[in-house]
Amino acid sequence: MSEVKTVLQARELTRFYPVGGMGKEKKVVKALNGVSFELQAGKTLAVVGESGCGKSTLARQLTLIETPTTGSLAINGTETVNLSRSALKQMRTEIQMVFQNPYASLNPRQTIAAQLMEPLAIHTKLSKKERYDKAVEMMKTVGLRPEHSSRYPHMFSGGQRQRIALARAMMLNPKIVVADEPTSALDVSIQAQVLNLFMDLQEQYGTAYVFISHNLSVVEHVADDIMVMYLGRAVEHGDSKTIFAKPLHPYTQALLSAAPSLKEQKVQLKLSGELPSPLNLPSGCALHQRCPHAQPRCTQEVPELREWQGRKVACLRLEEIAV
Amino acid sequence: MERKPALLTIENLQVVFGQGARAFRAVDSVSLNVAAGEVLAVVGESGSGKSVSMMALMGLLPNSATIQAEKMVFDGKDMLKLSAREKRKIIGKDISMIFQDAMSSLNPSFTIEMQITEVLKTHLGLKGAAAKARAVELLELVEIPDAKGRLKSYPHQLSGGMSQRVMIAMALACEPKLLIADEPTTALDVTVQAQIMDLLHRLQQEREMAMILITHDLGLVAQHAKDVVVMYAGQVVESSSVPHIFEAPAHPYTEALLQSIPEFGQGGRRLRSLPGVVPSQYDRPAGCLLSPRCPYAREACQQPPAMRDSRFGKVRCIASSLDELRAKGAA
Repeated sequence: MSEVKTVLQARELTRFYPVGGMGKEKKVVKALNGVSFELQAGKTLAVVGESGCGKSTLARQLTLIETPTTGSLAINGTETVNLSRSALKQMRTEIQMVFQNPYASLNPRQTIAAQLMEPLAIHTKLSKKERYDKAVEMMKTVGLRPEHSSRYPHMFSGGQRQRIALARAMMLNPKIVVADEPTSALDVSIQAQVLNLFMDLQEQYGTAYVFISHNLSVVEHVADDIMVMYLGRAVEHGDSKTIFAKPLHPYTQALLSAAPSLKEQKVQLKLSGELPSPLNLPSGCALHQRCPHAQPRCTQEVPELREWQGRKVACLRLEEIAV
Repeated sequence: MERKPALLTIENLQVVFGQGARAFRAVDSVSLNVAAGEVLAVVGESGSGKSVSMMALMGLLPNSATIQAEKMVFDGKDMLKLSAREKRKIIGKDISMIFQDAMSSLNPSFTIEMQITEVLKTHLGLKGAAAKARAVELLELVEIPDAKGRLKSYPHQLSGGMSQRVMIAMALACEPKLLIADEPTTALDVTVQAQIMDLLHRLQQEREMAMILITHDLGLVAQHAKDVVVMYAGQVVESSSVPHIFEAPAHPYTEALLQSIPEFGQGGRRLRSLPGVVPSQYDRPAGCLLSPRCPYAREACQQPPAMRDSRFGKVRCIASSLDELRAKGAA
């Protein structure tokens, strides 16, 4: 890996979902509200936030499952908005996904080999024998035995299933893998095995990961960059070490101090209340109802992401808080 | 260090589901002690038997389960000898429980008020306005805003955090001596989890109530528990106290659990992990259940190890500490 290559570039991505109608008031859920980032080959970006912050919506835009409402998304240097269907199909080989629940993401009626061979059948012209050989080779890479190939998903444990899901995502040797909470359904000792596998594959193939998680100790371990999201917006974005060493946004501070830790905690900031409904976003800063630093102007102005001490932060009172 | 008298003592609890050759031994020799007013954490992975042991105590297991124990004493009463009727007077009153998924633990067809007052009526004989007033008091205790207005809500109108607060209010309705919290925050977001744990911690302190915290999150153990029991495949493999268990784990499984947490990784890119998975019911190894996965396994592990004293508690291993275990390997 010599030159640094940007494989994924998102600019001001938004995704709105219309709800209601049919006698009810029509509303718009602003699930993703202007998110920008870049990802380099072989690096890991972790997206952190609580349920409802837009993490999974972001994953659906990145993997080209949905089309963003506005904004642009470039994969491997090619702009994907307004691409033709056949070009999009080709593009999907570059970006693959691993889902949270390995009990639901594998087809229970197909053997492992059949599931691993399917992407090759769709996207390549390999013969059946060649496809099978590739599938078995990938199974060895992820730590499964070749005789497992004729088995069905129910014969595997959660950790093994997540290995299969990861193998399936890697079959076409994608540039980017989007992993949506890949270890949250697993026990801790199995989680460690799967995380190790993710890192081994990244070393071997130079794949870039978008790693969506709410588990901060996992994120701290795997991520190069992190992006903290709250209600569809990024509130803090930058180098993982910098942010973990000194979180600046009140929400990042609250997340870090809320995560149960074995060590004495550095920051202590507690949020009151719960996440507001994304149907009725608060005016101004989305956090102002829960933030201990909130002032009247936080209810009026929407904070923009600003460069600050080696990362980007969206807070109006940054100058006063970040001392 | 002076210890308060034990409120709950369980010795060699066994729970078997079904009969004959396909009998499923979910819990096998679990012993634990909870002192009055203290917090005991029960840690283990899924399938380790931590919830089943507590359900056995609560009498919540189906009839297909056979429960045996050498001793099960709560507050001076022998739970094994009590009739079902006598047991019901204790359970829900002196011992109460909150569950992992609060959203599905509440009855969706009744209002919060009906569900809370039912407890008050059954165990304390409170009715009408008195019960209602007490219900409001309980909701205020668990910091639910606009408690009076919330009484008329149905569970679907509450968020996950609010539902768990209602569950806590119901569990505390009769001022229990022991609260069993089975993964109380697993289904919640981290910031809400912190709020709920703070609430439980405060209530436990104020009321000097004993608590058994079932969890797989060692971070929660570090912050809230005093004593800890580690379970693996239906057995207690180590009992110790906080913070000793983090500084000097005595069982290889405890050590592996700690090392598999990324936070403990000490900067290394690879996490140390045990190979393989927890043995399922029908392929249990002879001898020590951890032996196929244990980095220290040797000849002696073919025999089931007994519980022995360790520096800060008890451990089910052939040696009483990891150092001794390593030394044995070298010899």
